[in-house]
Amino acid sequence: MKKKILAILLAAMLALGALSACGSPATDPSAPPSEGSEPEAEAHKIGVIFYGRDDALGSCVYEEVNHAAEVIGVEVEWALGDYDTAAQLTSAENLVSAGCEGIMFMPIEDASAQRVGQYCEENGVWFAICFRDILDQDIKAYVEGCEYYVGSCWEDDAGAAEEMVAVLAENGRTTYGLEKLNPSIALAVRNDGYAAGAEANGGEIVAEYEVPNDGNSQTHINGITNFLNLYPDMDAILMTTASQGAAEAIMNTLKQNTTSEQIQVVTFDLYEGIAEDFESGWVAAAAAGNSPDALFVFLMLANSVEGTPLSDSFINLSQKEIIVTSAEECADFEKYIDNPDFQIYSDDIIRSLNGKFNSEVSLEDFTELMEAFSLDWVKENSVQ
Amino acid sequence: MQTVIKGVRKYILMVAVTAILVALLMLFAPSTRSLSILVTLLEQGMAPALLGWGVLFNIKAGNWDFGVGAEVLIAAIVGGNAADALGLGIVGVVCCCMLAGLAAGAVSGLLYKLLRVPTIIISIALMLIYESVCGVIFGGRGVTLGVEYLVLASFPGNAVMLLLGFGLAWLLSSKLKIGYSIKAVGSNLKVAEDNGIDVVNTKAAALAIAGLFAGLYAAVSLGSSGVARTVSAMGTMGTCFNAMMCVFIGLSITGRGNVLVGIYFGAVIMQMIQMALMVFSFPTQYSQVVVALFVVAFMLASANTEGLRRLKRRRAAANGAKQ
Amino acid sequence: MDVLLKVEDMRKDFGATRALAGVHLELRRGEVHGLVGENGSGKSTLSNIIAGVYRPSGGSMSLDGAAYSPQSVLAASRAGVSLLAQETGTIAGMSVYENMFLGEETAPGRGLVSVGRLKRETRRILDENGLEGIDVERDAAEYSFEQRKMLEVARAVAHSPQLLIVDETTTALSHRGRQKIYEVIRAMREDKRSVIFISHDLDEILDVCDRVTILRDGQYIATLERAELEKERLRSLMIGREFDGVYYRTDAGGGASGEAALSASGIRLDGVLAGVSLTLRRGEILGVGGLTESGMHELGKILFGALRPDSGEVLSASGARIRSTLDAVREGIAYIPKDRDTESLFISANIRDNIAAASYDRLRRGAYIPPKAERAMAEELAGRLQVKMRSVAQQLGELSGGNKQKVAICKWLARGSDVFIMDCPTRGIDVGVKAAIYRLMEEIREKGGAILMISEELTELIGMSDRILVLKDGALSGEFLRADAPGEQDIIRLML
Repeated sequence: MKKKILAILLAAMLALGALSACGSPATDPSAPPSEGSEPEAEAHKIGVIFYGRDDALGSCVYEEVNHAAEVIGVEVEWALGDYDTAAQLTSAENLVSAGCEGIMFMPIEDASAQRVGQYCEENGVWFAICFRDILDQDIKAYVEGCEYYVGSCWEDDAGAAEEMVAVLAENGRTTYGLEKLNPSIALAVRNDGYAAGAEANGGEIVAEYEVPNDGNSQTHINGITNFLNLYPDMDAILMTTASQGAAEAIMNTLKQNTTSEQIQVVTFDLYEGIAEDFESGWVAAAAAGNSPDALFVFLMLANSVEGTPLSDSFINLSQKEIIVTSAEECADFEKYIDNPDFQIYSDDIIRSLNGKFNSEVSLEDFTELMEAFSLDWVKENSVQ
Repeated sequence: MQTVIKGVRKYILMVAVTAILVALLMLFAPSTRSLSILVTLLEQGMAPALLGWGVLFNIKAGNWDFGVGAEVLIAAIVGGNAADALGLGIVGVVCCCMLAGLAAGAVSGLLYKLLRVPTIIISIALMLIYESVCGVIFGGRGVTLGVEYLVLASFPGNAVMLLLGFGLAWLLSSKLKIGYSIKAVGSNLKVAEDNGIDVVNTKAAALAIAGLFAGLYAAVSLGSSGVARTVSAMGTMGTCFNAMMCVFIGLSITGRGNVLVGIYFGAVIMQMIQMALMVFSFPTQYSQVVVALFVVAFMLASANTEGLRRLKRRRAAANGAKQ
Repeated sequence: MDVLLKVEDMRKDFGATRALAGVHLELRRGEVHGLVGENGSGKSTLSNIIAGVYRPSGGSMSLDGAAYSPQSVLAASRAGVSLLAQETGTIAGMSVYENMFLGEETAPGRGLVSVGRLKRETRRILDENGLEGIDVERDAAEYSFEQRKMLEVARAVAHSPQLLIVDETTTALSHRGRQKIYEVIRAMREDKRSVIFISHDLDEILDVCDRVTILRDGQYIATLERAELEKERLRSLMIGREFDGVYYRTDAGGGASGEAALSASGIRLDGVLAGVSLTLRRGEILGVGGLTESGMHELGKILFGALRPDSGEVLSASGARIRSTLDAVREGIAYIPKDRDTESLFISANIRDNIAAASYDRLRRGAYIPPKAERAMAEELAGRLQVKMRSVAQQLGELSGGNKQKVAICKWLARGSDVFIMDCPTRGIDVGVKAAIYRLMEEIREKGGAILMISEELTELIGMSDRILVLKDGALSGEFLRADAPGEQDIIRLML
């Protein structure tokens, strides 16, 4: 009897899940394009598939894309909370059914890039990718061969890693321990960037341990402890990620066992308490992890949807990452960039990147702006 | 004197195996030749041993519990946040984490008792549920504790926790009836049942006990790192498997000694393997392969000890036949 | 007449099978009461209910005048009823002292286990029962079946039970082991405590018991007083018809073809066998006898490839070396081990699966095993050997010992094996099934098959074998031909 009840419950849960997936995408009732602006007869609609808007990056992307859409007179429809290929594909189908003529998405994995891309191609819908490069070469070749593929923009993690190693080298630190990402994941380019940086700056990665996928902080504790015990000459730790408690575990272990004179850290992503660690000399540099990739990709896509494409072929843009090297820069970053209430680019700049408002808009306009992107530029050009 | 000799014989295998491996490591990796490295290994083995002792109860009872990693996570997040909110200090963290872990394990045991489906199914379902719950409670932020809590990463804090865990495991396994019942149920269900042991309740109790030790491990992790973050997509299974490997290695080297001590040495050996991989710059993506091969080798050696003895006899007999 | 235990209208159903249908039993204080019946008669079921292993479906019991319905073996033990079961009652993986106090680790009124007390008490109990050589801290698995059985005896009498149930325990033991149990029974009687004694060995029953109750097909048949006890009368009441008492072979032997079915040369196993050589011929039953520790059981395993000798070789009829059980099975050799529940059968599987277990390669069609073919084969063989069962879908664990043994033989007949190594093939089996198994052995022999029968029963060896090899201390000490008509004393002289 009990097994029957369990079976019925499980079946009901499955049915519920299936039914909810058939529902309309996770549209936000407060989506700005519906408020205020009166859509013109030819107003275009773009769908955005993103992991969520609850964290710093997500909320910034949400606000900047919505604002840009409002400025250039495009409707946006959101699909949030998808964590696997199947879910992202379903969202793409739903968005297209809802009238979207373009899809911007951050693929959760390479397979998603292919599946969603294929769907869009088959249905004559423009698509573009933000925040990710495609690692699998076959999938990349397929996507780049699609007629409706506009292009992508992703952060230059490898370049950021090299830059941070250069900062360490300037501080006289050349013997590194690496908190390494699993080579199979997309962010593993950070490993390569650190390696390249070490070579370019006359340094050496003497030891490494792999970030645990079970989030077990003991792995970080043991890894750092082994670094300190086995390599007394080690003078810096290269962190590929600060998330899932990695930063806290690593920093707490360091603080209990050594000094900031002995060891400095460079890291991707800011974490709580990083400002204090900058001040006390523990952290030399951090790749701040939030940049307007999505905005550029959205504007690029909008141009294609509206019939003013920037190029006849796909476009790959590389977004410079902001490297912060002090507590003050951390504060500035949080104020100007990691802040959903702050628009990095003015409405004029946004319009200048759209064919409706600037008939001479070109790819160079995009790349120039992206090249100029820095904390100082943002502070200087701030209109808020 | 007899007692001493008896004691030495009981523990000689586990100590000798560990010592030989340490000696080999030091022989081939000069950077490991120091007392501090030895101390580091002994310290690094402490936390995994705690979880390993909990897993042991499940293995003894014949339970397949893949949810123990998720129990660690939920115990850390619930227990850590509760203790911090109430200002209970590290002792409060330990108590709250253990209570939360025990509750998580008890839910597992209760579901097993009510539903009577295999423990592997219950544990996987709860693993998914606990991981999801952790993504929701406390805003999905996990737990972050201040530096004042970080007293369990080094001596004497870690030693106190090890002794606490050992005492608890020893009490449960040797001084309370439940330990014997668990052993009986896992070894021969029919005979255990025929002798009046309630099999279902015993297996459920083993699940709860594993949760208790998951809480203890969670407390030690928090008291060392100060943080626990949410994990999804069955990521916590890694924690569970690592603990199981400590137990398997420990069981294979325990011999006639106390299995709890054997598991501690098993945990030390696991850490030694990790250290060796680092020292010899072995590519990290293959580290799990190496660990798995070691575990298989230990299990093979343990299972085939009789075979090795027979081989020796066969050779002696063949030599005798020739003469 | 002082009645200790009264069982009235006892009923027990296992699903649709009625194992007990209104059985009565009256046990007097200080008596040794035999309980006999064919396999499936309900005697083990009854004893298990009295011992608290099963709960009855109906009926009542009283012990010492008070209502008695134990909910577990432990409860029965606390009420003064102990059980010595046929199969193993100790747990491998637990130490001797842990086994001794299984389920009763804590002293009354205490919450904590005192390991020291357990060890001391275990030592005392073992010493009182002549088991000084057993180390209380060692794993029970390190001891032989007999030693573990002795542990169970010690455990059963440790609490001075007022009723001891000995359920077919003696048949698996050596002479020494049986003597020990008889000693215990005598001591119980002298102490005015009672014993229910279950055995298939009617000679033993006649020797030991004061009264005997006969069950048949789950029903009470009769209780005979000592003066009425007679082997033939017991047999006929058990079977329900007159039994002619002859179930061994009546021929003079000599049908062996000379062709070797299995041969072994120079088999050595350290401490067990010291260079044994033998040849089993087609058309013969070769008996191997000796004391339990003579090495004959290990020899059986070696011949089947289940145990690797230190030196020597085993060859099949075709000259192939037997180095593993796979080799043996491939060469058409079958093995019926002594410990059938753990070494021969899958207790938690059904009859069909057990019978088909060695024949999947013959049943399959490509990658598929047709269920119909499997079932048909199982039904045919189970029917041929008259296995008492509901259907081939019945769980094997529910069958009596004799029927399980029949299923074990069915498995090999299904495979088409014609060379059998049988180790104590009729251990713990009633006279009816014994006769059936002997007839089957004769049939195999007459059809040109070969049987190597290891047995601890001299009458069986003499009654069934064409030749008898006697092992002593791991070496062959002599050989007898059927035509020589050896007596028990002739064989015993070579065994000791």
